[in-house]
Amino acid sequence: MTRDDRISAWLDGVLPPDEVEALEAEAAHDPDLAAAMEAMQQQDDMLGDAFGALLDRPVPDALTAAARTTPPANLPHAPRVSLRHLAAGLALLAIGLGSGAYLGRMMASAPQITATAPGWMEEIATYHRVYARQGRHLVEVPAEEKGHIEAWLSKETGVRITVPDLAASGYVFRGARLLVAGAKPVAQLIYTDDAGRVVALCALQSDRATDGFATRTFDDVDMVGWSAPGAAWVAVGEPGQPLQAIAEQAATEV
Amino acid sequence: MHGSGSSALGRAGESLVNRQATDFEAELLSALPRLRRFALTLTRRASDADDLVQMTCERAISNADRRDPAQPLLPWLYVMTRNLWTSETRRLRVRRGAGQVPADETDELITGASGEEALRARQVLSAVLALPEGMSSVLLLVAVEGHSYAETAAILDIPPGTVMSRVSAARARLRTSLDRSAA
Repeated sequence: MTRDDRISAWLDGVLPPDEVEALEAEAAHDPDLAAAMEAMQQQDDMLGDAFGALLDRPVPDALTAAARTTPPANLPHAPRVSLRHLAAGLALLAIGLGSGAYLGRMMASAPQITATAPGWMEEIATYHRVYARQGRHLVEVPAEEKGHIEAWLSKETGVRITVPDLAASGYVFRGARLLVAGAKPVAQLIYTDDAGRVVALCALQSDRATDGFATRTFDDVDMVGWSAPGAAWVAVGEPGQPLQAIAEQAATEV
Repeated sequence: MHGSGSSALGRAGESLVNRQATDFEAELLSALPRLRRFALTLTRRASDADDLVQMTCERAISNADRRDPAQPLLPWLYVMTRNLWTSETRRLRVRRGAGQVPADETDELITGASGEEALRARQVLSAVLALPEGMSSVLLLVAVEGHSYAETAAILDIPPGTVMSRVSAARARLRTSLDRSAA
């Protein structure tokens, strides 16, 4: 193996333990080798950032439509597109929505949620678009099994899940689902109001702490996020729902 | 698969089928950002990548009943995308070689406005997409998404040993290319 091959295999964690030891021992006496290992590691980090930013691109309507197994015309709430969509897209461009990490650093004045893996909020928004119109199949486990939901989702997500009471905002707990976003298990607690409008509280493990509440918009889905110890939480709904109040209320309970 | 024989299935069966279709749709929708990214490493042109993703979605929906729901969706989609790209390029007899992606196209890919980091991300992406054929995809799968060499080999239909040498060569070439653009 060439030096590059050894470094590459080392980065990918496929070098046998004795060869890892040998490589690291050599690097201790060979500043060139140590620098090359460091540079390659940095390059992998840059690759992660560059490819991560790609996940935050808005998905064109043509692709969303192609991924639907049922034609949107038959759905009770066809996705709202056209001018509104365009305006949302332009607004995102205008505020420079790159990856969550970039955004966080660029807009240091406003508290922003930093994603554990780029794109997870976008994925949650997609889930919301699909699940919020499910009616009878809204949840996987119904609200009556609240104790089970808390134990089950805490175990699966690694986040201590308690179901907040959102009655003060007019929302009643309906049940929960387990999702996957950003390659992590995500707890989704689902609430509805009198009009049947859906709000979800989602939580996943995250070690990035942020201050306060941060709002993000993904086309027709709004989110207000905050961080709790070891977790990122986000309230998900449509424009016009009291997400800020719900997030603040939930944050005191979880 | 869906929709037919609803009377025979009965209400419970029908709702199960609907629910499976819904779950599949939700998974497919949430896979789109990653699918577009993988397709881009194959086509190395954003417009071609989205056409390829569209074809993948159509095929995925028509083959949904043949998928093992216990297996993760993404690798299954990736294999489909790669197969479609291989047959498409063969059919068109167009191999784009190591064509440089125009700078304005990578500008559009990362819409993070200005900022040093967005600039760097664009440079990195543009250098990755200009690597010889087959290298961008191994970099994404191995170095970014953390697939094993065996998984990557299965997705790209190449021997695992080739994955190992290709990812190493891609990292080395990328470093040379970025050093040159930084100088």
